[in-house]
Amino acid sequence: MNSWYSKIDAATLVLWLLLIGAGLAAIYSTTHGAAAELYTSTPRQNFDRQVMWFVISAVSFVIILMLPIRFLQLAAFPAYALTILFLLAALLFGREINGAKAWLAVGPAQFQVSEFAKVGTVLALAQLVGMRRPKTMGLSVGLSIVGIALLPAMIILAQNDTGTALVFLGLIPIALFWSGLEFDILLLMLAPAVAGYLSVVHTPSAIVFALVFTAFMWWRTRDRRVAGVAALFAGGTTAVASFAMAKVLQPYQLARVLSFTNPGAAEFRDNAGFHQLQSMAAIGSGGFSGKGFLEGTQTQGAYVPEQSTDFIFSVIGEEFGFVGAVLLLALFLGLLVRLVTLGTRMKHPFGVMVAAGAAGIYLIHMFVNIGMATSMLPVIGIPLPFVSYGGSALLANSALLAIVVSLYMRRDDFSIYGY
Amino acid sequence: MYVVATLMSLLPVVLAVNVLRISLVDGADLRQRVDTQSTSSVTIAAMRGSIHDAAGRNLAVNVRTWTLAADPTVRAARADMAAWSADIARAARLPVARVRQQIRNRASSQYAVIARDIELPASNMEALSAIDGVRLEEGFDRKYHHGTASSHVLGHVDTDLRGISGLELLYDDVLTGTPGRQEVRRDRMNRRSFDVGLVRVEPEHGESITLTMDLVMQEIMEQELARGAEASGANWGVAIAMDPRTGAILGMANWPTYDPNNPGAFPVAAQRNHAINDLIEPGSTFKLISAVAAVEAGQMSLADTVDTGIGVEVRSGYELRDTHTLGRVTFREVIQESSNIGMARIADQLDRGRFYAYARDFGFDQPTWVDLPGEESSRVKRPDRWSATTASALSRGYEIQATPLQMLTAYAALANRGVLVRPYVVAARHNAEGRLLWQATPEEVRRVFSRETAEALIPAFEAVVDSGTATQARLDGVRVAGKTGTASKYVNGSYSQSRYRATFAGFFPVEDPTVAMIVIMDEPRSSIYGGAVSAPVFRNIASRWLSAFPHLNATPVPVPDDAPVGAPAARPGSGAAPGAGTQRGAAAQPVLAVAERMETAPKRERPEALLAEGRMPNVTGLSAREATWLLMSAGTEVTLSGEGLVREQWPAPGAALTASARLVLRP
Repeated sequence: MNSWYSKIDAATLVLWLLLIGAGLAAIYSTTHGAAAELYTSTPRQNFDRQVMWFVISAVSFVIILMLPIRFLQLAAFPAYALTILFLLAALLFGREINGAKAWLAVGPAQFQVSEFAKVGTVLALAQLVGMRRPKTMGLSVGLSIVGIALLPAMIILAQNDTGTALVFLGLIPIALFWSGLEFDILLLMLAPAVAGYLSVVHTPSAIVFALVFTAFMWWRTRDRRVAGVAALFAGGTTAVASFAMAKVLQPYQLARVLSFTNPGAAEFRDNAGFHQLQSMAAIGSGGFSGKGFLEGTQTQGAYVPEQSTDFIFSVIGEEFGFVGAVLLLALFLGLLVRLVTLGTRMKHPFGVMVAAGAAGIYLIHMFVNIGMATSMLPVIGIPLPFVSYGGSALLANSALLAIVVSLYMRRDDFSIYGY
Repeated sequence: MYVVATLMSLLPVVLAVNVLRISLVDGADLRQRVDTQSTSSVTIAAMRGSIHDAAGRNLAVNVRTWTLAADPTVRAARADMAAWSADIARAARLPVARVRQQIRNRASSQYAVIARDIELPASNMEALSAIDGVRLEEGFDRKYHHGTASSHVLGHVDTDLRGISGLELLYDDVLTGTPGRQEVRRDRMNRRSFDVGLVRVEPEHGESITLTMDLVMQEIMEQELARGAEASGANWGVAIAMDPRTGAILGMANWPTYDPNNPGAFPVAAQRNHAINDLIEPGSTFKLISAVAAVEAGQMSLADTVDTGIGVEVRSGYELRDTHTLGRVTFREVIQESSNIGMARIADQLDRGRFYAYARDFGFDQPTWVDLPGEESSRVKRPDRWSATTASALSRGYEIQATPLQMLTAYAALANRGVLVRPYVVAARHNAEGRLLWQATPEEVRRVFSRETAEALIPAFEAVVDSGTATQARLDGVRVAGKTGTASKYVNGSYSQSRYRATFAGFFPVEDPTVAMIVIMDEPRSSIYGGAVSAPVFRNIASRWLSAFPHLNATPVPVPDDAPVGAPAARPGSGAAPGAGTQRGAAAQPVLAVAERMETAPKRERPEALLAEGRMPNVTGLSAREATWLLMSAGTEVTLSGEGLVREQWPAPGAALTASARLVLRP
């Protein structure tokens, strides 16, 4: 028989390496270009540190590939519990970096625990869903799913890291959907998000959306209750968001929320909108094919704050242009589609849920991060998976990917008694 | 399943579309924003052009200077400030304490100017630039190597090296040049990052200017003017010389003078170029114009006689005086002895319009258009505004205002046998590479009067020097023609009886003049007369020039009177501006010799001579001790009042010596 790695999914591995390669190139540009001499030595070592984390991630990847499915399934809840403990420890004793108290120091290394909590949470959700038979989704399971995702989100919110907490909330509809929830209910749960977004960007559009969505749900189900809930969710969110913007939020909070809609406006460009304006300038000035590696004036002048982490997309957009940006997006799309494909082929709820969770996490990160860099979304500080500088995120995301690849590789080992 | 996959793949597409939208819709604006915020240009200074004399000596040049600045926030400085500042101090050869003080007292956190305008050997510069955080900024400073020499012509610059007077002002645009620029990239903290591949426009350095004047000639003129002005106790003095054939200015000196390297240390009055900035009533030197008009009108020849009466005449309530009674004299003697009454009688017969027209033709009532800034335009009354006294006043140089240079051009026209030329001081302009860009061409303004008139009048003006009022302007072996002027100054609404301007204007050699020169002293105290105060200065300058620059004299041997005038032997250098490069080496030695001789020559030989004749010498300007000793030696008792130098004396100079004299002293 072939050796243990013969059924490994090469496409995922290649996509994973390409994304990390793109990230390393962008980080290299921020640390070893002309901009580098402006830095003190600490950021200049970012590239070297990221390479080191890549090595660590690769080793972890291989180790995870050797773990049996049973182990991963059994380890799911303990891992989840462990990450919750770590989150609490970080909240209580952790180190505060960039305003978020989310870091635990282990010797010379520092870990952002919330990144690993994603892995634990996905495993726990998968285990929860995997233990149930299909069509037995009760309210209690639904609530459990919500609870499992909500608990770390709350702790992370308390750590003052809103962006990462949002990712956990984003896991909820994904888990609910893959756990066999009805499609209509999924739509109902997505509606407030769309309505909230629209009411910030353009309130009339949100009202129109609420009306159209209600009518659509009525047309689909002919059920007054569903239509009522749809109207309540979409219309209510619109109303609450509008009211909050008008009455509740402090002006500076409102400015931060609104700045992304027009970062160049006079009242935003020097404070709340500065990041996005500079990011847009970088991407927009890159043109079709970009200014060339190490040639971006925005990047080399370090005009975009946080350009190696949250705004790394601006580096790619400027130096590699539209072509580079689209290639990066294509890599992400390929990875996401591949993950969903792998999940579907595993035919076991645990595997499906892990793959879907991983894809969901990457998708949310990618969309929010690039949406932020291109001013579609407000500034929400979450990294671009595999690309942004950050050891914890790279290790955690790679580990999650490794679990999916590992499960897929051993998909024949899934217990049919899992149901 | 497929719905989810579609939704999932939709999001990256949405993002891609958004990226495309940013590129296409806002791309131009964003690119411009990136350029404006990250690119700026640094000016590369253009070097101000230099000013040379006719022989190519540097009169005004730029020297490269360095401003030493340091950024005390660099790591080396933060790590060990004491060692860092000590390094800078050692390399810059400055006291450590001063360097540290400058760093402490810096205006901005990252920029401390440690020293301005430093000049150091290259090795020190290298050592300095090797220190982290040190910036050496190149700059220029203007240096006038010869101090006060020709300062009023050169002018000076302000601290930004912009000309504010003289040629520096008039030619500021061509001297300044066009600065270049280097585009630089800056980062978000406005720190300069990298320049490679960016636009660099080389500066266009300023043009250099070559004067018509020779430094040695100018120095001689300034020395002699200062000597004469100090000896006569004048308020100020001015001397100008030009080549009457071309209009090239050969020298322009003012006393008191100033140093353009440090103009602030001198009073504003000393910075005034009286040659072109002052309008004065010329006095008797203007009789040239009256004489030309009379001769050209055909009403007078030099042999015709005029009755000057007893030397005092009352006209329209004004008293007109000659210095002494002449009686009936020829026109020649009227000029020679500068008879006011004689000239007034001649002017009486002149047509007003004709007289005015000649004044206009000589260039009065307009500027000379010399290439110096701030020239005053002379003023003459139009005939329809003349009063009953104007004709006679004008005939002897009153009721008209002219600059000293204006008077000089009139005498240059006589020297040039009737042709008026435009004076100029800039001979050529070269670019920074030394290529000739522009060369002055002598400009004839017009023929003012005929050659015959000139030849007829010149002997009279030569007689002024030979035996008239200006015998002190006589030169050995060189024929000089000229005219004195002693103009009463118009002070507080009336012509002063005690304040005069003493003038001598003349030219040499008479046969083919190479130099026309005017010397004016304002309120001289030793004597009021142009012949006594200004003529000696003229003579001293001319004799030193002739010994240093022999080519100025075409005919070292006196030409007999009957020799054909105006047809001189051809001489080397004729037509070329004097003092051109070839004379340079020959110049230095003779000048020193002449200067030495002048030093040892007695300044006041006249008092003793007068005393020997039993006449009262002029003792004004002397100290009480000197004057008393002088008069006592002749047996005259002296009564002193006041303190300081002798300012007034009774009896007047030249009067018969009496047993007692009274002297009034003032500081």
